[in-house]
Amino acid sequence: MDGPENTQSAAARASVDSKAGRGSSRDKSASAALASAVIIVGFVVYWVSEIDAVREMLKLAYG
Amino acid sequence: MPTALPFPRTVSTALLLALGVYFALSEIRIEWYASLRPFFEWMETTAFGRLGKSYGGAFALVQAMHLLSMAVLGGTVLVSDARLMGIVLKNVPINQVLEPCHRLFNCSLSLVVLSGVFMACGVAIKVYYLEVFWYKMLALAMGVLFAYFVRRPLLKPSAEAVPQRLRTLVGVASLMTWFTVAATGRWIGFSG
Repeated sequence: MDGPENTQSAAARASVDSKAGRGSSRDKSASAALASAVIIVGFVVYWVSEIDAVREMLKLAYG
Repeated sequence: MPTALPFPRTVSTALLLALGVYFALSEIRIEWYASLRPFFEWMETTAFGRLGKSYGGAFALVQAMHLLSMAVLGGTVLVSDARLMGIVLKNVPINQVLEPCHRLFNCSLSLVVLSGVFMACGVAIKVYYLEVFWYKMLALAMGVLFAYFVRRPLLKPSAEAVPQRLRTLVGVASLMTWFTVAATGRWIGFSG
């Protein structure tokens, strides 16, 4: 049979687990936001520089 | 008792990204690039390399498989990311769209990598000197790391619980990565 102490410790454990779960989910969200932002900025810079290089070459070739 | 590092996943992601930027800007990259040349020479001498160089038909067949797998991979990425961004299949729960797409993504990615290795063996020295090949490899590595270590852990438990703004950000990043993989791949085909 569960006594009041056991019930209390189970509730405390559940609260700790819930806090840990929220922390882990916030961690996942923050890492996803960071990685996504860096990827987007990186690829925008890459494609802008590539398109500029092609425009430069076309200008050299055809004036 | 030592206290655990807060936000371990975010900290390791930031460290990995910083390491990548340092590698890209440092001399190590140039030394590493030069040291890879013998490996690419060896690739051309393997059975795959000889087969790819001697039999155009075999190369074309594997290339067709590579392109078809790439099309399937692109389809899974398009559907799942468009659903994430709330553009298509809005009345279907997100995880119901993501799960089958992820399984298909795994299969098509395996085929893309296997056929890609075969094709690279046939033209190893050519691709070694192509700058765009390295950009493709970088985009592929980023795409794989992003899909398995960022996107999947975030969305697997319940994608509905993730805020719409973050889902859109993740969807755009994923689309841009795989678009770059496909576009640089075509660029290799047109180069040299």
